[in-house]
Amino acid sequence: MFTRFNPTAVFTAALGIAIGSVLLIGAGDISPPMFDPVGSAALPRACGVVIIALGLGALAQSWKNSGRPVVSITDEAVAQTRPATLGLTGLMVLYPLGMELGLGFALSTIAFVALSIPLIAARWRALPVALVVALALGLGSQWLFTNAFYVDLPQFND
Amino acid sequence: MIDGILIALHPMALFWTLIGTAGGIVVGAIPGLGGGMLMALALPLTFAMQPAEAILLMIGIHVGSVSGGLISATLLKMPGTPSSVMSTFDGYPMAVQGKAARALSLGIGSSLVGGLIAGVALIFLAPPLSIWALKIGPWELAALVLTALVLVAAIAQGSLIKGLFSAVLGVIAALPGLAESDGQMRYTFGIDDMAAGFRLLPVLLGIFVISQLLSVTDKALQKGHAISLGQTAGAFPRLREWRGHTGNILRSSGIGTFVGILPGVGASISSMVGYGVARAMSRTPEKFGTGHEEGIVASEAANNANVGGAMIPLITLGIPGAPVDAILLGAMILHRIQPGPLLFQTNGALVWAMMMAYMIANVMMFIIMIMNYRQIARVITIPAQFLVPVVFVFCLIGSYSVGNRLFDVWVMLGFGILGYCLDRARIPLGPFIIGFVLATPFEAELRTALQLSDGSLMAIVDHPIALGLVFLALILLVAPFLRRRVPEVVE
Repeated sequence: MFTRFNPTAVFTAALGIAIGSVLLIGAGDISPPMFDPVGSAALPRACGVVIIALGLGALAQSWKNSGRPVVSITDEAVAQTRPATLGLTGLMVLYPLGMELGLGFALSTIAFVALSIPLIAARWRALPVALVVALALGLGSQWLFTNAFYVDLPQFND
Repeated sequence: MIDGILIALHPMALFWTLIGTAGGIVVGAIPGLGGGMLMALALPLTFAMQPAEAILLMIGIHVGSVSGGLISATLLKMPGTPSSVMSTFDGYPMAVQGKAARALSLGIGSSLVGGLIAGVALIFLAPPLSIWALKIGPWELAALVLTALVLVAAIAQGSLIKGLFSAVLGVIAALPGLAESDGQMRYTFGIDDMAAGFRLLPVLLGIFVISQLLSVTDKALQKGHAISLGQTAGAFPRLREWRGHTGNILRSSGIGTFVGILPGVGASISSMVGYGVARAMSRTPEKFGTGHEEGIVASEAANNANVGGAMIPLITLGIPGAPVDAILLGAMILHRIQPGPLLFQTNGALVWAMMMAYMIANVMMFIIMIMNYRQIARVITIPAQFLVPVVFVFCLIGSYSVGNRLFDVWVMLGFGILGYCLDRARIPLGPFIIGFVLATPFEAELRTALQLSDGSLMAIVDHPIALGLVFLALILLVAPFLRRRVPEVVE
């Protein structure tokens, strides 16, 4: 039965139901209206109902269209998610995490850039070049944004 | 008006317009990036600038990026921006036939004319529209915003359901934090940093930039082969050759301007409609897609005219005419300029400066591109492995600088991953950002309207404009289901 559903429709429905449920449950914690007839819970409740309905609608549309001749919207093929993209996402998470743990902006940037370049290029021989770029970007942008733009970037904590 | 023109012609203003236009052209030419990305990245850098200079920089980027996409569309068959998709149909075949320079010249010239025609429309339509806009009340504004959201969803690429899903998701993203109308805290989940909700810049950077960086990484190993420009001398069409394209340029510019006025509709739709009409009205429609000059002229005139047309609802009503205009709207808000019907009253000089700067940016775009397209063509081959990490670092700095806290960086990252997942699921991102930007004014106007009517929705009957707009929204919602069935477009 589930093979009749497009995976993107399943994702859309799941997202809609999850977010809609959070909205409807959370709306119960919002105080009832005091000064206006609608209150602050009205829009969240409405959005919760609508997004669940739309998610289920996407699922229903997918069910209805399964088995029909398909016309592609564009000629461009949708690229598959590379393992490198997942790896890059992980690095993107570790980057601010490093700053949270006290590594500071410069060190975290150097580590992020040095690892991302060879990862995206799928060539670890690019590491020396990546290190040069990483040092220039990490130290350079730390100096530029701290001294020229007065942005108080996270510093290294001992 | 004179003050506005003087602001736009000030040396510093001209400098920032030039920087924005040049930067926009370069970024627009690189596939995978776009004007929205550069505008979002430039936002935090404008904090120390004068508000007028910041806005003019944004306008320059917007104009430049829409035009810059032509270069990679013609030489790489990869549109630099979505609005240049139609330009690949005839630009690339012309390049294969050894007429790359002529294709670019035609596109650049058409972009200039399209942009200037839209600029004239902007100058003549915006003032009377702003006077009309002052007469509308909360019912009309709420209905207009609702219609804009539905229209954005209906016209976005992909199914109506997914477009609406994206728009509602954007509205939901704006809910956490303090409710404007009564100061209630909503959906903070006990996190102190959530009291102010999700700030505009991290959400913009996440949805527009981070998601795109992840998509670019997916395609990083696919190499495009750029076609050589070859001889450029004599490539620019003579005046009598342009006369042959007059009707097409004027018609496509008009289409682009009109489509741009419709809230939420972007330049890509303009160029598609312009291209389609040009083909339908051409004496040689069978040549479209094989390297026909009319195709590239129509596409480029329409997509540039869209930029000016989209500024009309932005300036007069505070409603973004295109998804990227939502960033321009964000820039105005960040610089404490309140867009909307009162903008002509409170900041009349700035409004005229914006319109003047738009015209100037189009002229600058023409000069820069005609003189430098060979050099710009080299930029489009920057490898993704260098581009992606560098852009992400600047995104991180931009998000962090909003409030000097890492929470905004996490917000940017979260929305970036969400945006990537939505993109993979073929859920358009444009409606999301428009929903996010318009959610707060929509709720505020609706609650004001209901307060005035003691909670009665039937009061809308006394406001025919609002009623008409709601009917229009309903028609847009129902129309796809009433259309005669043809082979359906599915995901």
